[in-house]
Amino acid sequence: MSAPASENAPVNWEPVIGLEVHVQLATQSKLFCRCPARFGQPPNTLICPVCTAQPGTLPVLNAEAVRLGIRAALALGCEIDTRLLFERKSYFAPDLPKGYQITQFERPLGSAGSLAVESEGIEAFAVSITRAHLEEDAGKVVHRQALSLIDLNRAGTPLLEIVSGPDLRTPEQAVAFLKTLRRLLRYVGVSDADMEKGSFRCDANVSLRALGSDVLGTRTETKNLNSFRFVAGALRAEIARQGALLDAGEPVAQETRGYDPDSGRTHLLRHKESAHDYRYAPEVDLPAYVVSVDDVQALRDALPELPAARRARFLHEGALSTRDADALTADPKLADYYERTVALTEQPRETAHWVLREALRLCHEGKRELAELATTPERLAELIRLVSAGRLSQQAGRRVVTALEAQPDLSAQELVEQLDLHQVSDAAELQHLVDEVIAAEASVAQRYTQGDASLLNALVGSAMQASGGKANPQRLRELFRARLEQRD
Amino acid sequence: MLTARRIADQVRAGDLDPIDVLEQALQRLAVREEHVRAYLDPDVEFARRMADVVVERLNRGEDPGRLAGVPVSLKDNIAVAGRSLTAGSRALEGYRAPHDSCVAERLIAEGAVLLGRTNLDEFGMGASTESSGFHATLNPWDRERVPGGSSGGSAAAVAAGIVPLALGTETGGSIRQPAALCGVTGFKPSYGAVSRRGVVAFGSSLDQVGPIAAHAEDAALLYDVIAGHDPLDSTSAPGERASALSVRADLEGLRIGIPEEFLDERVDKRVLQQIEKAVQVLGDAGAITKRIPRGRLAHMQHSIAVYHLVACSEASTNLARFDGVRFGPRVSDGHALWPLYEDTRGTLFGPEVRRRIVLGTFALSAGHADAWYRRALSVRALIRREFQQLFDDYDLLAGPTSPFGAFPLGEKLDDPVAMSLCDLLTAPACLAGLPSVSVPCGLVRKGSFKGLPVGLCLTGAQGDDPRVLAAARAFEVARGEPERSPLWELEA
Ligand SMILES: [Zn+2]
Repeated sequence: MSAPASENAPVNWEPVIGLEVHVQLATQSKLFCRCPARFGQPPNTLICPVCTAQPGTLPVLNAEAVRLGIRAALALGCEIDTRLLFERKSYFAPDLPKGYQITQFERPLGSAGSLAVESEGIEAFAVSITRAHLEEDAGKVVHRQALSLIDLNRAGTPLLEIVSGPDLRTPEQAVAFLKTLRRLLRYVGVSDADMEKGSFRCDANVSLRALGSDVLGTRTETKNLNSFRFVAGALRAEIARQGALLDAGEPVAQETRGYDPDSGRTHLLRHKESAHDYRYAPEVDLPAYVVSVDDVQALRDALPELPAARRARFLHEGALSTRDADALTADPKLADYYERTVALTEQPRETAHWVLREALRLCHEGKRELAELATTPERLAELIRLVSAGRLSQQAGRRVVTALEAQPDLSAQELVEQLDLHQVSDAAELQHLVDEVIAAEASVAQRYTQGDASLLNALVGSAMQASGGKANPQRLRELFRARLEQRD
Repeated sequence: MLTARRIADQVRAGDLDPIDVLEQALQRLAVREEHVRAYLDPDVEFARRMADVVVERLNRGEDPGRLAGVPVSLKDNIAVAGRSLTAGSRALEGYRAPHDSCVAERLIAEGAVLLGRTNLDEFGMGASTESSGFHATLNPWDRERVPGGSSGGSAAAVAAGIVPLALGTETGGSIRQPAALCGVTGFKPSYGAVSRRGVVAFGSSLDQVGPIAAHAEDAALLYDVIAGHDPLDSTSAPGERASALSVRADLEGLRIGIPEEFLDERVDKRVLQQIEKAVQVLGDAGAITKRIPRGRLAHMQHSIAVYHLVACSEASTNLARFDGVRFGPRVSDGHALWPLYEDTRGTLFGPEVRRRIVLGTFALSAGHADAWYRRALSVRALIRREFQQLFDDYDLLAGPTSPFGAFPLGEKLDDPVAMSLCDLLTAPACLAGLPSVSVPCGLVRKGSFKGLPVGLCLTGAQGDDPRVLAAARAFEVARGEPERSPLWELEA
């Protein structure tokens, strides 16, 4: 029952893909008890009578999880059900302490949303969001030799399950959707959406239908795809497997499958006939939790401009590259920093460059948040203006950025003077520099004159270095050219 | 035996030593327990430690509280931190509760001395305490008969005069019916009046904790201590609760209806005779009593079916956690998971529990849930509405608590349908979430229940708990102190 991976989608069939994504909400505590919701702690250290289902314990709904769930659903353009009801989903599993999962079945908190996906290399498209509902996570079973060990640290952590419509057609679209979704969830601060930590997990529903047909084929569900690469691999494998079956005139069985990244194949986990009867029943320990319309409105008002809209605005207003626009809108704090800086420089492309390369370098080197930098948007903007005005070379500018961070009391202008970094544009001084470099690197200069044009950069670099970064590189290029080409 | 109120008053005044109070109770226990077998674990040393704590508080000049030094026995499905908690099931043998239940917290805070864990039908499933996973409890009036159930241990302990107060839990009649069969007062509060936190769940939308007492006034006292909002039970009613003791015990002008649905033909004739006398007492004390012709509680006839569907469905999920994985005994060859589940649950659960889990699982399963579980919820809503409408015209409803008196051990054990009739008159108030009390109203004169107690059931509107308890107190005053079981005065 294994399917070979194939890069070739079947010719006569159109894949129909829908995704279910489990997102761990970034709350302090679990969904129904006060245990911390944290990753990477020693086994069974984040547990209490409630999340281990001791007899007599009762759930109390975490209001922060509700808030984050609604915030995420609003960011996905969902309609919000303000009367939160929960159900018990019954099945036996050693990592499910109560023997049922508390989830939302009949009335998800969010429904009828959509997500616009724009990504390099594929045409923009929109994906409908069928539902988004709150539920608790299960624990984990770890197998060690003959032992099965149970870790309940994760049991009861809050999840938002987001279900897309069957709107995706290719593995590439599916991955682009997931990346866009992940960026959005991080952007609005509801989840760290880290696939490695399991806080962003994906199941994929796939069916094939005859090209041009409106009728959906029988679908399979492939579980637990925990990297973008696995999502793409599993979808390719499943599309190929179903295509081969249909081409051979055989039916596709409705079943749950797993993906083995080593072989690149999917394999049967269970047939539909053996599917669980979850016996959904009202969670009678939790009466309806009513969120006021005002609270929903407040959450809506508190949403930032969403990354897609902001990205479009950056592209439109600043003529930024899509790469820079994507990078700036990955994180609202970064986008805010950029916007405060560009408001002072009025030079979007240059500002994007300095923010993405230099401000982020400072964060990285100092292990600091943007908000903690001594290099505030105001101070960085002053520097960018100096560079744009030709008063400072790019290279010297980078040195000033480092100095800005080290000496919070001095302005960019003061640091340029202190470091003596004024750009040298004086023709005589530069000519002298050029002659010195040609003398010192005669063989390089000779190879340049013999036709190796690429060596011009090396000569300019040497001159820049000799000037301590102060020389105007544009002027140097002109002078080198004039001097060496004149010899012919 | 002194009333709880007098014990507390005298302990607070310094006229009574809590240790003496406890030792007297322990003496009674030593003599009478063998006749009733009310306790799963008398937990005597723990009780002595609790009494010591009350003494220490007195010595520090503190007021130990409204139950200062009063011995109170708890049904063994109510958690007390560090003490055993079996819920009457072999599946929890040896288990110790990690935390206090909300009601235990409140009892301890008011100076009560928790004395022992009382017997019950496994997980509260039964009406005779014969379905305990450990042993049967005997009726203090006749040891050949059942004490009722599932809170049979608590009712028998109070009726035998071992303790003045005990806590029971009720899902379909489990406080009031054993109280009636043992000749003591039992009160099921409005759903949400008392926190369920720390109470082993059976049917979560029905379960309530309530007092069982030798005196109606003591039941009100215990209710006042345990009732009130608990933020850790989301079904707990918000806001302040009125004190039941502060309501005047007066029947004057109270409109009491007796629905003919409560006088079902399946109710024993001689039980009915006692109820008629009790209604006479109510009228003589100033209540306006009136028969309500058949029809206004038209859906009550479905109560037992609805009760079983709702309670068993909820129980089938509530009891899923007893899987032998995290706590309790495990029956397994140590290799495979599913045999572990099957053997643990199949071996440790008794037949009644297994029957109800199977019924509830069926009622919730795909393709059947609409016809059974959801339909039961619809009828439950109708029953609730019919009661609400009756309370537009009446303050209280009166009738028998149980269709019959205490029945012989073993008589109904193998006949679940006959056993289910025990809930005939109590399940409706549970389905509707109403406060309801059973007070002793005399002994049967003739026939198969001759010499056995009968309970009068008074039911009020949702949230009217103080009024229901006040009526019970007034009835006890009007009628006089209840007849006591032969064990009441038994000494060594
Ligand atoms: Zn916990």
